[in-house]
Amino acid sequence: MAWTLSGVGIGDGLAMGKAWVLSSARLDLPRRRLEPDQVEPELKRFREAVSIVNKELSGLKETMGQEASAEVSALLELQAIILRDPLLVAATEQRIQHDRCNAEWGLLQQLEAVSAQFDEIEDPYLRERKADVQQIVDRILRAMQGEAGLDEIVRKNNHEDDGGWILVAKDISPADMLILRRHRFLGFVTETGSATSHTAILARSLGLPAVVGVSGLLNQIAQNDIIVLKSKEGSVLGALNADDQSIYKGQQAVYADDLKALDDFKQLASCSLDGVSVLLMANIDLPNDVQIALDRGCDGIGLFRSEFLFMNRSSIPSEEEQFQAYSAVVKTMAGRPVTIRTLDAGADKEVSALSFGHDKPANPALASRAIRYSLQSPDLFLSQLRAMLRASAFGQVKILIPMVSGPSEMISAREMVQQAMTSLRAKGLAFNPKTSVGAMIEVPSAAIAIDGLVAHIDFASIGTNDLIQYTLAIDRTDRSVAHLYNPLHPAVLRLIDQTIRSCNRANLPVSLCGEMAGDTDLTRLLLGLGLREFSMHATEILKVKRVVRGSSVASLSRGVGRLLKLPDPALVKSGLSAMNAKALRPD
Amino acid sequence: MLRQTVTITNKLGLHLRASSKLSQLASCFACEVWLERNTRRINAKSVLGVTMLAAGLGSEVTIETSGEQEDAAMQSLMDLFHDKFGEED
Repeated sequence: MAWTLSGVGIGDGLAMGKAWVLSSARLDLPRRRLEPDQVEPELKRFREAVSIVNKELSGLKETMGQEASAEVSALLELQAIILRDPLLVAATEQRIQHDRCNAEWGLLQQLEAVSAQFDEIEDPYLRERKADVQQIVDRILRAMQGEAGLDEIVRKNNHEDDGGWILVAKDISPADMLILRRHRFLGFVTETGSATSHTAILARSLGLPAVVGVSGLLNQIAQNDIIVLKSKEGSVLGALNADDQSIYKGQQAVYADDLKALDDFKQLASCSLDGVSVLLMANIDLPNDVQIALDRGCDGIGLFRSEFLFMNRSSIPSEEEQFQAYSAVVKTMAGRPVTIRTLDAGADKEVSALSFGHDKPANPALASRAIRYSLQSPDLFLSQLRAMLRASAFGQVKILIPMVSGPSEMISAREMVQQAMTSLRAKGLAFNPKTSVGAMIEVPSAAIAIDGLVAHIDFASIGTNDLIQYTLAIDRTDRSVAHLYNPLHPAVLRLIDQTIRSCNRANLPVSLCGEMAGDTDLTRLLLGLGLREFSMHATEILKVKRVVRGSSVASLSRGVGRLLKLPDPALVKSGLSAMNAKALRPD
Repeated sequence: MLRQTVTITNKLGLHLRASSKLSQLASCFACEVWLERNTRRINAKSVLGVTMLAAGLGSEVTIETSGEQEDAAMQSLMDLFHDKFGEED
């Protein structure tokens, strides 16, 4: 039976290959009690292991040459410093002497003590450095067990190049990552890790497809299993039959060719055949995502989902921490617009640091979330607004309010923005007083009564994922109804059409930031509806640009007008396919 | 033994780069070097320890040096703080 596991995908790629499972050195280590005369030899064994790792690291640095970026060599340097750290080495030696335990046990106890202290750190970047300590500890443990380094294992076994390997591990250190690249692994998948872990940062900089944070991974995969990695969706597939395998093999080849061809579009303007300019923006979750967005030639950030700063932690990020994150993005974008969405927690995005009441709501999607929650938690909301406003001193910030159902929430939200400005003025902190405040159009009531809302917003951003879910009453995460989720339902298209028209009449910028914006099958449809600003995952930007450059907007408008009158999704779909096919064969 | 309190004035606080500079400098001296912030007391020669202080812009840190070269160690560390760890602005 084929299986699928999910995690956090890094980059946009598809890889199929044989699993190379790297075992964790930390599993099943027994405690041994030492006799007094065994202490000295044990200390010697430990110091030898440390010096082996030291040699490994400096050896890697030397052979690295031009291969690694400055970022990678800085991380290697950091690991070398940690290896000399008294909190790791001297403290372990003390444990060996005082507790008279074996070196492995002493090292693990020390790792636990250090990890516990790191867990208390508020700054997520510093907190993640725990992983560096763990990776160093793993290397020392492997050296003590006389295990060959990854480099050696791989060299011994990876000589036959039959379709390539995908590395499967609990965690992968930056040093291992370099080896990984040198031996041309197709990608990697790890059980631990998050979007901010070093593993993820490095995967981005090396351009390898990866999926991290896949729980249950090592129980599911055995050495030499054929697996497929879909990094865009963050999924890992296994136990595929021959037919599936040949399909993925085909996809992999198509994908590789396509990627090369797309590069040509980076320098070209996003402009249609009949001269209509379109803005192509990126959706990001974390400050680090900006680099890849810029690399794909985005015109700005159309959606910065702030909730990711709040997830996977026990405390709420302070105003200062948020300010650092927002301003880092704004500075990197150097004057291009950055639309930051206020906290959209609740429903599928749980934030453990926040309390949503004692009872889990029967229907989280319809409960207190997003702006509803923010208005009920004024302190939290104000600190977020102050952080966003302070970031506006460094570039162009737009504040986006999620889940607005009508004017009253916008009025309250704008009052809070005014309050935040007043308190910043009192403290003498800089911000742009003309910062735009806009609404996500994702609740059907906002789209239906959009005429009444336009007076209260500076811009609109259509969030199609929720708009479709609420309009069609379909929970996308519920498998029994997920097949009914359909962006081409006439009701959805008419709401989008109406929103774009109303905003255009009121001279308000309007963008669309759901999955629809990055779906190239829908690009012509949206252009025909009058959309001129698309915000999507960075990896889709060049694909959408290619479609825009091959389209004539004037003729699309006429065709889309006919599609809007069709009575059901199936007819819209066939009409759209015909329109797309025709655009590819200009007469 | 010498003790002196200093306020962190560099923008990023004791982030990784500053932490490793500090611990490397402390390691150059034979004396013991401790840092305290709130209730936490750590060995300044450990970059992990310094990182754990998680001391940001504006926080107060007490430096303690004790033993051989304690004067020179204190002076060099204070200079590093006042120099904002060599960071620009």
